[in-house]
Amino acid sequence: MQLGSMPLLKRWRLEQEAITFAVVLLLVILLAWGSPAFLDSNNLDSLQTSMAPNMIIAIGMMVLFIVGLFDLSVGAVMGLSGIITALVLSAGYGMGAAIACGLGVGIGIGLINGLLVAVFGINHLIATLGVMYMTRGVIEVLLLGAPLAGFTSFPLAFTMLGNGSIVGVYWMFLFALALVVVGEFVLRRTVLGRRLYFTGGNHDAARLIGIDTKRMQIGALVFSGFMAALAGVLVTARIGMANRYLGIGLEMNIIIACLVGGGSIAGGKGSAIGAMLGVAFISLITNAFNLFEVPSEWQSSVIGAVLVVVVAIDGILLLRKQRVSWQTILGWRSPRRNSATLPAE
Amino acid sequence: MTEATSMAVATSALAERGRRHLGPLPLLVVTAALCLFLGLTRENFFSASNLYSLVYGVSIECLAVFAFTYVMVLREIDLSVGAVYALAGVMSGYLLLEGVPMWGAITIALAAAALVGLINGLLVVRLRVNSLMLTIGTMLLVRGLVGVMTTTLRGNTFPRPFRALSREQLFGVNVSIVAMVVLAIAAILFQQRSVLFRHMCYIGENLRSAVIYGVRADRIKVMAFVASSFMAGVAGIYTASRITHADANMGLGMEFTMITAAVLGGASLYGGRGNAAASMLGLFLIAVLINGMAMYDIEPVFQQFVIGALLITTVAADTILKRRG
Repeated sequence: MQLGSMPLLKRWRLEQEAITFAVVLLLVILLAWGSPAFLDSNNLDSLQTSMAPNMIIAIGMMVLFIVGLFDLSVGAVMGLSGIITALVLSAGYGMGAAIACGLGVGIGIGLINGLLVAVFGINHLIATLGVMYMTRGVIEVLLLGAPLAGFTSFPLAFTMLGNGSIVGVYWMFLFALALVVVGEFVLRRTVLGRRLYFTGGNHDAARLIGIDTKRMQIGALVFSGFMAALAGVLVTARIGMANRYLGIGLEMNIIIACLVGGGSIAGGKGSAIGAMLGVAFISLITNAFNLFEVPSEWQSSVIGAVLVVVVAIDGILLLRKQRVSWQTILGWRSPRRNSATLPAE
Repeated sequence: MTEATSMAVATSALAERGRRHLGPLPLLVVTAALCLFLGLTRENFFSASNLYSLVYGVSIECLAVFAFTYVMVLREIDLSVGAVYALAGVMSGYLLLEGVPMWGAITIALAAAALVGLINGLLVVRLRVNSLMLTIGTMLLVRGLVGVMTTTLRGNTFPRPFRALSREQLFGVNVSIVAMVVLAIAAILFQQRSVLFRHMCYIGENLRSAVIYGVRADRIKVMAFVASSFMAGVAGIYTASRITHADANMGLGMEFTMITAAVLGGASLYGGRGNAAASMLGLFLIAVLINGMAMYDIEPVFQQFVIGALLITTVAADTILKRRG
């Protein structure tokens, strides 16, 4: 098909993003219509400040999805970098030094992940999971005996990072949006972006045409660690204390957001806009639970169900692309008769 | 602390290196050596009550790791075991307090557990989805249900006949220990004698050629997922009976202990091999390690760290072995 004659969304590879956008829009309309508290400025504030860090992490995670990896340690990295920043600040160092330390932690852990995955060839699930456990261990050790809400005296300039706003829009949120725009530009319009897609789309082919796929993988993991650390610093500035529970279970929400926003576990697919929309979706769902006062225990179930449905749809779309008939997918016809349904290599 | 960690690292690396030729023997030696070390340096390690509670605790998890290992042999993974374990336990308690007779409650809870496995299995074979992502989804879904039921139960103690289940004895020891021994022997026989196990290895090694040669891969996979959930359910009900009340955190992180144990026991993330009896031994090693850390008064927060390190080391060794072999 000629590029010019393709539908716009297909040409820009934004088909799934468009669906997510429609769903997000629908959710916004339903919430605004169903709950008067939704458009309340308090609610909008909390929506923005919960979305912004998640968007930042999701951009990093989406880059990982594009190269065909994911990172389970982001929640723990976010927690640790926030705590390190708080510790350095309360030790009397300046704000710049504290933030640099926090971000350094993220880069360091990302580098460890990258080396484990790309150099030692360890399965990324296990590597990042082990690193997550170890990072959580470090957090507990660092805060051993510390009060639950320790380290609360931050300089005003630092707390403004998380609390400053202009006409009701938080700086933090604007910053996250700017990162989405920059991320989208890099992914679409630069050689680096192209290489990332090639690495995830077909690893061997990418290596054969001279892309250093190992470096791409390490770079993506370092980037994701850095973004998680950035989010950790911002959240610490927002809540004004070191919190040892920061980011627990966050990795799953981010992964689900990326899947909803058009990423694929198989790699080679995804966009920064998709990451943003996916996070908006998850945040709105969570917000809906709070507004309609659904017991929080149900949240995990609904998010799990969303993940199952998204993974199933991803699978069906992939099979349809391989021209497997609906009858075979649903099991109405014996699959063993049909060579087209043999599992791929 | 450093002693325990370096020991764990050294031991697992050792266990991996020799495994290809020696089977689970190195793991056995390492576990025995660790036991000996703890026994010599801490006087109460070899006390009957400590050893018995160690074996008893492990025996329950062994029920679940048995089928879990075979899912890994098929080159799939089932991360929902921990959640299903909690579901079966909490659900049977929930039904009991709703007035359902005991065996009815247990049957329904086990059926629910098996149903989760069936859904996992069918989605994996029909839609060819990645079992890792899918079972994370079912894990979250089931965890949510467990949370809802636990909140309803509000820490009520389960009825006496249900609590008595876990105190049931056979040959002078708890039933679960007998079950563990039986399962270990069954696993060894199954792995050495049965065609089904060989087919399972073929599926894990190369799904496509296994299917071409007429192995009914789909059916075997669904069966393995159902078995994994079912056994997790059995273990969960037993544990619920043991701890006497509903606990939302039951089985949290259990899936990763299972992976570590299975890989220690010779299974691979890349499928094609595995030994359920050795996985049980792997669970023992982990339990002894944690027990030893407690005896040396190491902060419990370090346990997470050590399990994480153990997981990475064993899988790294597995990966390097795979590359060389």
